[in-house]
Amino acid sequence: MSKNLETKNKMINDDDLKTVIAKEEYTKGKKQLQKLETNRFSIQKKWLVAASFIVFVSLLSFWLLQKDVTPKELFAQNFEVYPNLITPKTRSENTNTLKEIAFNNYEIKNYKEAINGFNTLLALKNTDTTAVKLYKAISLLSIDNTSEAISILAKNKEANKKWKDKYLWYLSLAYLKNNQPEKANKTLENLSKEEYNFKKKATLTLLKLLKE
Amino acid sequence: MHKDTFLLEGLKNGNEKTLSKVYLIYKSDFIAYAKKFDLSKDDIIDVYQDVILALRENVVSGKLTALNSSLKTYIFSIGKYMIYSKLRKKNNVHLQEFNEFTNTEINQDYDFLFAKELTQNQKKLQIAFKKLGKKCQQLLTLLFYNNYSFDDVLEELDYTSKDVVKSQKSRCLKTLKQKIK
Repeated sequence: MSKNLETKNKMINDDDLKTVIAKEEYTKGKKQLQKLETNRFSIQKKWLVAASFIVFVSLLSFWLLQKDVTPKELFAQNFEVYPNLITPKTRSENTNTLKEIAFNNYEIKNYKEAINGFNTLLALKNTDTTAVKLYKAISLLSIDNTSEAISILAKNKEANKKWKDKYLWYLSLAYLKNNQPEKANKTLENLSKEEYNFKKKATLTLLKLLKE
Repeated sequence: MHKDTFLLEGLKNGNEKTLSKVYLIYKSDFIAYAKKFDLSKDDIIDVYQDVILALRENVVSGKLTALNSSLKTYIFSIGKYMIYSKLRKKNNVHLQEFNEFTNTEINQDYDFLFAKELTQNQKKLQIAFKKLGKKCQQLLTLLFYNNYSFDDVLEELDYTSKDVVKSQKSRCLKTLKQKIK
């Protein structure tokens, strides 16, 4: 090892790195809060006429924030669509097949069209139907058709071991969205017992929050 | 589930929305409290931002895992200490108000990493860290600052296996060393 590299090695220890990263995180957080402050100030200036309304909304928000967290808030904090693993695209590829078109609509958040495409794929039965049903249910959740999403997720959660953890995760979120925290809790408990869980940490966090 | 626990979980998981939310919830009360000291509005806002970032650091570092009082009380205790520090620099401390800080050893809750003066080596490390790619910065931040396990990182950053996370960590540290001048 060269002398220069030895010197460099001495320079990095966990505590130093932690301190440096803490500074970086502070700088990022400071910028975020300063931006929040600036935005709020300019909004106040622009919308002076609507000040009384803003005050009312702020007071209402403040009152709501004092209350316990609702299941819907937990849903909003945790929900994000599952990435498209069925037809991952490269830039040079064109979108040709029904499957590619459906999943492309899913990726660009055109969920209604995606659902139509998924229905066609399910009728043709020439693709992994368990996966397609999952993506359909997530699309339904995204456009607030929660009941139908729950129905699909609950009915198919045991269909395929590969997708079971995803089904249970989105089913628990759907229950939260539907204001059914007890069912969400039970589903998360089942998910926590699964050998493979793509949301292991989030599952435990949600369970902890729901039990308090 | 109590609101305070929910907010602490959000801060721990690096949720930016939660940081803004906590900031806004207690801001007006804090400003009202801080007005009795000899500080401008800008100074108060600056201190309050640091208070919220200090809270986040304490949550992430594991110094604060559970609250003995309300989150508001905790925020105000940090705030009071930061106001004291600011006024002390101006030689303008009302001693009676700040007795708790003058006679005792400083509580570890008020010992913030981000407020520390960097050593020469740490400054070099900081410059090198800024030059790292975003992925490496994110990975090292989760491992060294957020105290994530390899399993946690695997889930958070969608790596394919724990071994990939481990080797990526080694690569990032190697790159970091190479960038130190």
